Amino acid sequence: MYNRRFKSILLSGLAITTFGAGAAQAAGASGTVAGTQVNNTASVTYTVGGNAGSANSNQSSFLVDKKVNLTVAEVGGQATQTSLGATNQVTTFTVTNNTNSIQDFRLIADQQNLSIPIIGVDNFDVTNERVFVDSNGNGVYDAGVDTKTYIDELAPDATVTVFIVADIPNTPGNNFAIVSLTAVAADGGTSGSLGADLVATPLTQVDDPTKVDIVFADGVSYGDLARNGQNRAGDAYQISGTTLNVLKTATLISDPVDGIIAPKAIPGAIVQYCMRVSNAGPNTATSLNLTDALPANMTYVPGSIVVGTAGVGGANCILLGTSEDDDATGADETDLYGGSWDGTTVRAMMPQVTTLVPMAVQFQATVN
Amino acid sequence: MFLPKTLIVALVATVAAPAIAGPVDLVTKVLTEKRVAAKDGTTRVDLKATGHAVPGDKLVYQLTYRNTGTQPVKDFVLSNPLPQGVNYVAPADGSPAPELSVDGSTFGSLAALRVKGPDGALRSASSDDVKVVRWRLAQPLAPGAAGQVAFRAVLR
Repeated sequence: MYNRRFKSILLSGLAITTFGAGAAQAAGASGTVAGTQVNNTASVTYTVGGNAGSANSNQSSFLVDKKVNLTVAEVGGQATQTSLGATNQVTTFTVTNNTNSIQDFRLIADQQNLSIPIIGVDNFDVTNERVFVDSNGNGVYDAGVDTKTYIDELAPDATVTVFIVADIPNTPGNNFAIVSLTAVAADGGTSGSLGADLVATPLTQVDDPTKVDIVFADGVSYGDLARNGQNRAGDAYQISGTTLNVLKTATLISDPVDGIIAPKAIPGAIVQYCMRVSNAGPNTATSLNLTDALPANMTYVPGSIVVGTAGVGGANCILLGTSEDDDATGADETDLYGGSWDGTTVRAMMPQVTTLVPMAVQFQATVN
Repeated sequence: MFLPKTLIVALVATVAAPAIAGPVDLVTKVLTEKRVAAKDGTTRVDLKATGHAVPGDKLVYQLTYRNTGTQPVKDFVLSNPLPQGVNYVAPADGSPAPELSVDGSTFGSLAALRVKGPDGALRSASSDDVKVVRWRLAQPLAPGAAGQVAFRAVLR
């Protein structure tokens, strides 16, 4: 049984040694292959009464046990960028068999259901979460090709890529979902089927020098204990982009007859236009350029452009802003915000609009 | 298989060795170091002959020799080729240091040994390069006298 395993290791180029009864295998990083019998024989040479003699010792031996170790790692170091409603979105992991024998690995795709401040924001859950092994080894998820849901017969020190594939629900406000992959060391030896989860040989078990014991030697990982035959790594889906909304309102400020008390839209009345820009996120919008053509039968009021953070609306369009002159040059263009009038169109520039603070552009015109 | 009779005899002799009972008895024993947590919080290292080890385990090989004959034994040279998968570490506590060899023919201290690297250049040997350990007794071994040497090793 073990000889067959050894053969496949030899073919993989890890070890080029002859083997037979008692021959130890050359070791990779994971060490001497489990099941190897390590035999020791010493010898002496001497002379007695002028005659040379020699003797060999007995053979002292031990059996190499299975030292189970594995590593699950996230690939890329970044969240998978995705969008609302997207299907079959992929996060990528690798699973490395650091065990000194061929193992199967059971795979568990999981996700975080609440936001833990230290680990990071998690404000939605993916749906239809599945896990697949990269069967053709190209590092990219191929739907219909990468269909195996467990790792079969992974050689010592070998690494395989594993994908979590999931759908993103179409719920505005979703931004970040943390998922994780757990690999559980399982019995190898039978190709084409997933072996049972390995169980560490209990310390109380009566020692059998002919039977390979199982020793768990895996480390601690994300939400995973040491020495449990499992390893886990996290990854995430991030919904990026911005959702901008512009609301334009017109408010009568005064008219030539009634002044500011109950003004009417008569010729000569001053109308204040307010364009409120809000961002539903999830990302901050940057380098905004807002344009608004003046309606017909209106005359722009020179020097009336104000750009800044939005007020409550109506006559209180701007909470905190900067006044802009009508040309498109000068220090006023970069004093946080910019604005200009080219004879037909009002332009406003804002460096950014966050999801928290809406911005606004205000200008005035008179009715012809 | 058509083997000459003499060759068959030779093979049988090899398998049956040691065929001639000499006046020297040599016994080898392998022990594994097990760390045992004591109740007072300290850690004790126990040596156990469990017959099991995992890669990285520390081993101690003990070689016990005895002159079972009636005459002194001279020119006593005790050698132990390291089993495959086992790396030499150091002499065990209380044991004289062995002479080391990286090729089985030249023996000396580790500092005196050189090995050829993958680029063909010679470099200083490390304990991982040791292939054979050897002890030479300066004094004849009197009838009935016995001794023990030991070395520490690690399973790759």
